[in-house]
Amino acid sequence: MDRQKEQLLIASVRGGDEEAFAELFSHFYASLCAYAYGVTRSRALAKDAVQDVFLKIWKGRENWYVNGSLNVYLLRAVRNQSLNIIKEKKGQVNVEDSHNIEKILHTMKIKQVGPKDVSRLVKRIWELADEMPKRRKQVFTLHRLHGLSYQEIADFLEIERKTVENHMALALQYLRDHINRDLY
Amino acid sequence: MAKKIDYVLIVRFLAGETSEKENETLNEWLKSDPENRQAFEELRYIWQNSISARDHFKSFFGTDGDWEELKQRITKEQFDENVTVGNTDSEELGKALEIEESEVNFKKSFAEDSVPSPGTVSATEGKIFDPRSNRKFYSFVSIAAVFLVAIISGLSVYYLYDRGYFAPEETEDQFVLREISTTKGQQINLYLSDGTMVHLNAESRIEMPQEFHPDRREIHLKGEGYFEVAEDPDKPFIIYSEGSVVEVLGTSFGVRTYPEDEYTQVVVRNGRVSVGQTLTECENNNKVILNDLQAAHIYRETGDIETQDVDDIDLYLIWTEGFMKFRETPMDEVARQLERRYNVNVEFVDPGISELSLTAELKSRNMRNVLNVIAVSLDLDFEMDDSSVYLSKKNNNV
Repeated sequence: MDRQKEQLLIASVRGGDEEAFAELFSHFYASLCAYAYGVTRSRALAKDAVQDVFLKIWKGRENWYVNGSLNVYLLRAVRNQSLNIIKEKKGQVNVEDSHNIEKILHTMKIKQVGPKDVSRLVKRIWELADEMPKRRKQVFTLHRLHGLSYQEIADFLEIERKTVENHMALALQYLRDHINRDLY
Repeated sequence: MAKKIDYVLIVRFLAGETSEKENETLNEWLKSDPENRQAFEELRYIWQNSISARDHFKSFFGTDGDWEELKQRITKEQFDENVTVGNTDSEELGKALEIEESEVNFKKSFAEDSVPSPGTVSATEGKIFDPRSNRKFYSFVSIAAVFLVAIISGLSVYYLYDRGYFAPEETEDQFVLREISTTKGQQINLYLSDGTMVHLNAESRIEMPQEFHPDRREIHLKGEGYFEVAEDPDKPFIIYSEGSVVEVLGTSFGVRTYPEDEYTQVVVRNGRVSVGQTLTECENNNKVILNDLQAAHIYRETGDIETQDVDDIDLYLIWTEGFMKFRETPMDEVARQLERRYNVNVEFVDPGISELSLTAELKSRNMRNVLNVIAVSLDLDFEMDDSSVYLSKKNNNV
């Protein structure tokens, strides 16, 4: 979804267009849940957090404006809401410990997606991503799973864009160094 | 020659963020050595495949029911006078996402009441009977609809990939049991390390080893569970319960074996399941095999096994969706199911109600709706308080 389409969608939601709101939901919901899951470690809480965000948006739609990337906006909102939820839950939060993609993938019948070797590769990639230093893993995940650009990742994580690219380069290098040749 | 790989350039290129000039540089590097081309193709392959995990999100966070759920919450809020419309200034996300008082309360009670251990969640809320607390009730519905998924993590990675490496240490831990249980009003979904999904009904418990045995996957069940067993012809999946053993290779089926039941009930949605009183019986010639849409009752005392064809699988398994369905079911049994499902006591004010039986499909997760249907179909009245439901016959002059 490019920036222009995003703004159009936001404007439609602002005008009370339910179909636009449904599109917003179906486009971002699963990805946002995956992010919230990394923070809350619970599928139910993750869904709660994301639904809370969509509920807030709809309730306040008449004044809903987004400057910049919609994806970054939503991820921020979901992050805040997830943190609120676990703060209430535990009174303590481990912000750094986000993303648990490998665990999500583990529960899936990957075999059904494509040829067996590809699904093994996909699984291996995300296992290795899990082993990376937190920041690198975040960068890799935000780009490959959440579809953020390097600039958007830099905005979201509040780091330099150059740093983002370096992390990405190291991530890819790490993957190639650790993936068994027979998976290609 | 140029063996050194410029990874930054490559990730910029793969993300489509390179300039013309950078593209040229990359092209020259690629042409200079077939090994460079090879390395680049490998990197591109990893890059492209890494996104296929996105597809899995949709199945993991199934969105159909969730959209309906959100719409319901919205509709609810619109009719709720107490709702104060939040100020959603996009510049102040923190403020926009502040939770209102009542929601905070809900979250608190949710946290306090329902998290005895990771992996369990209360599907009921103590205050749902208060007609004024509609909002809480709504939250209850959403939670009941979602069911917490607990992932037995850790097991997976070690078991699948590092088994050889850690093998000597593993055998010692093999007898450590892992136990997962639900109380009344709770249901949970579990994913086991082999990929098997277990949906555990209320007041139920499973026990299994920390790591499955290399030759078979064994668990112990009390209560009721629905299983989608990951296929593995080399490792049968075996469920032990009081007076019965169920053995499968990969299939989906339900097992019900509450302490007060006379028999263990096994019902197969699809696949092939063998049942018996003991494992030997299961594996010997005299075993009973169930196929798609067949059910068996294994009597605890006698060991007799009755099989039958299932014309309506919902009667057995609709509980996995949070609903109930009865056909000529004695009211004592209906009451037991209500008690488990909603964590309440069900009392018959008139003893005669025990003699009635119910045929109904209760496609609502809301207990009041469910009771309404039951009351209408059997000509009963009901009253509720915090912890109990009282059923009485109509025109009862008490």
